[in-house]
Amino acid sequence: MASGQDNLVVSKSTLNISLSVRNYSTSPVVQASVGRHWYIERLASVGLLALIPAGLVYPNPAVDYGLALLVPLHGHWGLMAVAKDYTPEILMPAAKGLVYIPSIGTFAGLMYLNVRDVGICGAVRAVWSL
Amino acid sequence: MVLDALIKIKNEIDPTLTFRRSCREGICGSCSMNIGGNNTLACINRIDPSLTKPVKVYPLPHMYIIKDLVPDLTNLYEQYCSIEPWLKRTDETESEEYYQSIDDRKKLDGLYECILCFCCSTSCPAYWWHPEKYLGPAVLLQAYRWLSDSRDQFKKERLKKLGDPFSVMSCHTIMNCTKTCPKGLNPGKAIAEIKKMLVV
Repeated sequence: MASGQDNLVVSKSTLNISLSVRNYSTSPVVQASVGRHWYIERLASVGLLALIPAGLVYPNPAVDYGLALLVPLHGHWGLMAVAKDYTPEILMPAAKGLVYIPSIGTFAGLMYLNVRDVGICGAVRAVWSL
Repeated sequence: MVLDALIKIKNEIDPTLTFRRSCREGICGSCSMNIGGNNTLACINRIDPSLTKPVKVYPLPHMYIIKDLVPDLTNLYEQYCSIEPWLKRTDETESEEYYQSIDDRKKLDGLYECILCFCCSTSCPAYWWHPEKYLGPAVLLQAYRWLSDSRDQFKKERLKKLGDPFSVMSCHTIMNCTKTCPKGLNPGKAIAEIKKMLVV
């Protein structure tokens, strides 16, 4: 009986330790930026929803440059989320660095299309008319 | 119900079969497990009447297992504790109760019913990948329950604790949580509401 009571006391104290309040933040708390970043991501997605049909119906340089900015940004944030979810901690800096390659590449390519060529809307139309 | 089959197996075939169960009516949340590919409560999950196919029963996915169908929920309980699931006041009085309008009380509907069976958290891929950093749908539903309570005076502090890049923002709105909840609650929406609160 006595040993049973001892066990009870031990289990109770370990319970208290394991249930003591912990702060789960693993990185510095940057509340405003985390929320705002999420909000800007949503804005970019909604912006794309408007820009893509607009570009198909009325192709113009404003939509071209808007798409050249938002398409790589949207893809960049998406890929960054994938990198953060699936990469082990040690490889994280490398993975995050790798994400910049397609993002910058896409941005440069789209800007080239806009500045030196027919523009994104024009290019999509040209592909369609084949 | 599947729980009855498990009890029959334990009684008549294999007494070593180990699982948690208590209320047998879907209110205690003990018998959560993966039945036929879905996280649910064994006590309110009907046995398929067509006996041609076997039913596969697994413990909650991606959990450390203590024995058979008993997962180790320590991490989930610690995370639940970390959101401080109790009323916090600056003017704590011992004797008086805190009143709340009918409308304010209504805000807690769909939140307080959670029985912490953790079907949702263990069905969430984001939680599978980062159980040490992401709080998961069950705990975030409760975080939202205390953020929504008109009697609580620590909303700002509570939000600040959730403001790191992982605790809430690891949610990618996959919505397995809402789909699997055996109580028909919507943790996915609660997380979205917290995200909106974090936009400052």
